[in-house]
Amino acid sequence: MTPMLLNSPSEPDASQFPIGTNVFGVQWGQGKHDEDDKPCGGTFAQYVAVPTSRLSIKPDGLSHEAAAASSLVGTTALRLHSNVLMLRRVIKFLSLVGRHP
Amino acid sequence: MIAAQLAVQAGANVYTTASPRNTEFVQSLGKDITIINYREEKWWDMNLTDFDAVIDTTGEEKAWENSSNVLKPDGSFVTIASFDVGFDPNGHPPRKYAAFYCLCNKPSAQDTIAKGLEECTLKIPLVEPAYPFTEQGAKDMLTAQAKGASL
Repeated sequence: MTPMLLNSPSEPDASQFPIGTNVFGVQWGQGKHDEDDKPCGGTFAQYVAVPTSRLSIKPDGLSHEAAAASSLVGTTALRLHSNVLMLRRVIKFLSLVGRHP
Repeated sequence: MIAAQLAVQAGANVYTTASPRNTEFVQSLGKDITIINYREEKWWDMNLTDFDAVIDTTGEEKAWENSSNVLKPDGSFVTIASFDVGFDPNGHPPRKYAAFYCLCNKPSAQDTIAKGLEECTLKIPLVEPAYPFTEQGAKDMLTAQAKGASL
């Protein structure tokens, strides 16, 4: 998701996100973020509430479309490599991206 | 596709499935990437062996089963879209890691990806238009999605 921050009423650490900041991030569809108990509820909406601890400031050189399209898949890929596969030891790598009929 | 790019950057010998319409883009990510046209070839039937890692990004049917001969004994299998392999990374010794993986996101990871895209060290194919957030826009998006993968 890639919104523009409209309001940050209650977050104690929200000062780095002035109102109107272009931000993006990953928002879960159901349940909760892992670190706190704040509920969240999907992205298919005009307005969503997200903890600022989960937001990144969108670089000017990156479009909202690219930020939205890459945030979930990109962070998944990155963390797969850095936390799961430890890629420096991987020599042969097969990526499956399509379904077979 | 970002996973494949990160693997290339880490120096891995990368193989990936792709449909013919995406071949050109995928090859642009690395000239040494081996592309398997999944409409015509079965990756598990090509004598691929000794792989360190297989990553399933779409929940491909029997991906876990089919990867058994492709992976080396301690190779890793990760899927983000199927529960066939289970949830315990250590549940299939001697596989180093074999499980469903669920992202635990962090802004630092988001920042890294955004920087890579901004500096063009990472690429994503934005081949479809953005649709307006209206009822008609949603219908158009779903219609387009039925023809192929959308981000």
